[in-house]
Amino acid sequence: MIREHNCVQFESLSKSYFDGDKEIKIVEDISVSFPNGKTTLILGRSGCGKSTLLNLISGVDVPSKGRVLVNNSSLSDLSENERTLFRRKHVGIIFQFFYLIPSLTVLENILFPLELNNISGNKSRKLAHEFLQKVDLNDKADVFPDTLSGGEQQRAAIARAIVHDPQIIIADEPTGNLDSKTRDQIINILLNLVSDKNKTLILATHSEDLIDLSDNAYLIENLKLKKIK
Amino acid sequence: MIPKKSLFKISFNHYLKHKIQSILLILGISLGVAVIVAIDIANINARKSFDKSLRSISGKTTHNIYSSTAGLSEDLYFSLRKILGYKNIIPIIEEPVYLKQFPAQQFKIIGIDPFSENSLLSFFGSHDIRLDSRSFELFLTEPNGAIISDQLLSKLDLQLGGSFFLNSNSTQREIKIVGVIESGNQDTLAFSNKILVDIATAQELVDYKGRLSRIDLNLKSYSKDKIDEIKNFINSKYPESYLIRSDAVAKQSKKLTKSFELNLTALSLMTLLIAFFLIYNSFNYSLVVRRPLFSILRSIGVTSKEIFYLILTEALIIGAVSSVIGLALGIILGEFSVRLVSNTLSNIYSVFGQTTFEISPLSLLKAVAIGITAVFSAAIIPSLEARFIGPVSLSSRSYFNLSFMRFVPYLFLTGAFMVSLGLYITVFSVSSIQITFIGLFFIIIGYTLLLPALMVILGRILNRFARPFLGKIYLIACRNYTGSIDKNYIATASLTIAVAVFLSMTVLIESFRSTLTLWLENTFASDVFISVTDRPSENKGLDFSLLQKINSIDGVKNIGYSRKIELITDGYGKLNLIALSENPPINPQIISGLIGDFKDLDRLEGDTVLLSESFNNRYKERLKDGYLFIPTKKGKHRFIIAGVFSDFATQRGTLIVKHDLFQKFWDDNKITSISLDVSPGFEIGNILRNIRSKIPESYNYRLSTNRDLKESAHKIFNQTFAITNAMRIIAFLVAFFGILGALVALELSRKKEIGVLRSLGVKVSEVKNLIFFETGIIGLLSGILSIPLGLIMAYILVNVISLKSFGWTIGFLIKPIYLIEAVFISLLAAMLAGIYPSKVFSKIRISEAIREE
Repeated sequence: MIREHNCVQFESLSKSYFDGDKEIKIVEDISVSFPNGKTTLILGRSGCGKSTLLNLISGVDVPSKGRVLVNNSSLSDLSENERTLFRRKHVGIIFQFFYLIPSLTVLENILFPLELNNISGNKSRKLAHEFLQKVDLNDKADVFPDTLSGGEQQRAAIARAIVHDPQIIIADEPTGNLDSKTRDQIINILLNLVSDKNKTLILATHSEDLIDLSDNAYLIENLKLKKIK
Repeated sequence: MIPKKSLFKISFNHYLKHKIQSILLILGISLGVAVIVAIDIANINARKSFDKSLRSISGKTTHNIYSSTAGLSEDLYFSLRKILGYKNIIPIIEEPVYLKQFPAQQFKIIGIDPFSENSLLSFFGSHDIRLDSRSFELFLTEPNGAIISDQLLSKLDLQLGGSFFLNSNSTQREIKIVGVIESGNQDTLAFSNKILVDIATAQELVDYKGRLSRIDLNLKSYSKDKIDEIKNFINSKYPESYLIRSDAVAKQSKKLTKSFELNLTALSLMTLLIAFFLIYNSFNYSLVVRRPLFSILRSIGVTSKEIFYLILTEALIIGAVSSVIGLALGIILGEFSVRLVSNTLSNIYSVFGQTTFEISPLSLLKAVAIGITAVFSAAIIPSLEARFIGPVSLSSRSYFNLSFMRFVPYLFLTGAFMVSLGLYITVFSVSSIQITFIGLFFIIIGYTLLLPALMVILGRILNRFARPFLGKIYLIACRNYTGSIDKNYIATASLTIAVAVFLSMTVLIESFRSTLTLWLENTFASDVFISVTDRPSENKGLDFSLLQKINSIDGVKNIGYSRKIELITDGYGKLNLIALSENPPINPQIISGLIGDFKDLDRLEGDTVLLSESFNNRYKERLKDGYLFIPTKKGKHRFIIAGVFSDFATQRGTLIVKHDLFQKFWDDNKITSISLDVSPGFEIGNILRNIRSKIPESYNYRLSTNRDLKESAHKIFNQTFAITNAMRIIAFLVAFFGILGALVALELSRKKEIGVLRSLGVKVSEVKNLIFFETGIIGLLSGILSIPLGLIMAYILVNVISLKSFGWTIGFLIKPIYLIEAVFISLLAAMLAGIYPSKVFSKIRISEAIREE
């Protein structure tokens, strides 16, 4: 388990894309540390590159320049397969549009990351049910995701992201698709679970309402990360 | 209504963006159209070849006189000429000959009387053949002058006025080319292997001095009484000769060949059905994967009507583009099919000469019409969905499956009813072959309606039993199958039908092969066979003296012989008559009637005959009294039917008699085949060499060992079944392309789901396994589902259709390997279809895949 002071670090990190011949810069030469066990917000308007930064942290994407260090190890030095295994074990992801596996039941969706991490049998079922209870979905264990409301789907997605005990939780606009009442409910669940389990949460959002609830907050502006809390 | 330009652009961009899927879509539809064109070309040309081979030499003829021995007496011609006058009677020599340059190929010499205006008119007037006046003059005046086709002229590499050598029996004669007929139409094509000479030359060449092959008569203006009078005159004065109506032989031959045509039509309808499914399948998937797009379009204000017309316009454009490609592909495929069909025709029905290759505009139109209809049918349901279902439901994954599942019980009941009705029609009711085919189609269509329910059952079994052994990734694959029956149904149905056709063809071919092997084993038991290679119509043979010479060779034992002649009958068309000695070359496998075997024929009283099974089945009604009349040298005689034997050598009717009975009625002293065994300790090669040295060179004969004979029989069998085999391959190709297009479209539409899986930590190799597992499930279940249908179809093909159309009883052979092969082929086609999506997904950019809508 990673238990260092700084869980995630960006070291002179730059990221850009090419649209044909045209280079589109997202961030340029940024160096930031995300402390372990803390909640960090990444703020910015839509399309500024919040999701890209999260993808770099999860190893879904790789930087154009610089390094992403997790527990002082550079993700750029890992192969595609190693990055997948890193993500499988150490990262939990929550998406704006939930992205539960439609062909698996709610319980099976939560069991899925456990199985990927070779946790099976009674132990995995016990853990899954424990998390279902925490997100208040015990009565929905055997239903398929498309019969759930948006809030219920996101609660299931939170349980799926945390159940296998990853050190880093990445949430990409987790409440962007929900009404305000449900949003508050989801944020409470997420923050409670993160603090209970001492997880590092990196949350991308465009909503400044959440700044007060976070430990640190950064704003993406002019290709840089500006610390605002 | 023409859709808006921007909507067109959306569609166009979709096809442009998904190039591989678009290519597969067009390829799938093109292949469907191509199959329809190819089969139609093969069918039409087969029919034309038949018609061509049945064409009479002299078209104005109403009756012919034949002889039950080799040749008619010329005296009969002179006698009849006195009664009928010159005008209505034409003497003809039409016999096979060989050219020095092409000793293995048979040509026909036609001898007509050049000084008889009617002979010439009869020949040229009834055919669209033009000849210049100079050639005509030379034909009348030049000794040994012949008219040939330009095809033969170029084959001989000669010019007009050149000469070539012609062999017949032991005679060789130089023939001068005095006229050339240009090819270019059906009549001249029929003339391509014929050599027209004057009758005296022909008589000399084929050793027919004082004899004729036949006499053609034009009795159109004669009353029935007058014709009967002529008949009686012939019967009393020339008992070996008989008068028959010209169309009698053609009619019987037509009846014989109709079954083949019908079979080919049925096979083509089956392929057509697969092609229809393939086209439907291909286009349907291109629409199903775009349901979310249609939902967005509806949400932003595009009316349901606009989407409806957009889809129909797309169908029309894609149908038209694919049809054009399909037509070109179909013509190429058609040429190949015609070649295969022509092999089959010459093997089963002795239809020789050049097979035509004509493309009927109607066939092309038909193929395009069916292609576009299939595309429209595929478009109709999704376009109606877009029209009548709200935008929210349109984007819901489960909506369509739930709606479809509501219909499953009704589809099952309708399917069960159709299958039961089809089974009743084909298996239990006594009906015509056409009705049997309709029954077969009821079964196929009915079975496709049973499939959704069967898919649900199999999917549930798979989920229940495989679940404990499968990880969640593979569980996703299982669930995707049962959770998307609506999407998977058409792919499964197409693959199931194609594999079922493949399986039924396999069982048919292998059942036939094993029956044939057993029949050959039992029928031809001797070690060595000597056979005259001239056709039975020539009624030629080996001399009896040869028997003694061969029997005197050291190591030869159990020598036996047979005589085979061709009979032309009034009521049964052309028949083969085989007379067997003791230890005959053929040991007939008696399947009904006579108890014991061929030897027991002696014990029966009266003049008895054995009938081949196909002949007996064809004329069951007429033969039910237990006897038949056959023309003999002593006139028509009544023979008692002692039994029926199985005969796979020819579809033409065959009669077997004891040799002594044959001599009594036909007074023929030739032999067609000799068989013998080799005593232990003797080298078969030496015996063959000794035999060869005893047979004069002038004979056209074949010397073969038991193994050679069986090998050549199997070779002919393979040629005969080439078209069936080709259909089997086409069924597989169609299955492959159908499933490829469908699965590629289906899998690639799941890009986002795969992106999510990858972001959750699923490895590239695991994603690949997931894709192969998913396509594998469709392949495996389709393979399993194809078995019941394939076996039912095979049973009907073997036990009902073969018996009804060919009159052959074939042992129904199912080996587990055929079933395994069917499942394997289905699995292989589906797994191969998984290669492309798995490659695409292995290179997927997770961030893009998740973002993509």
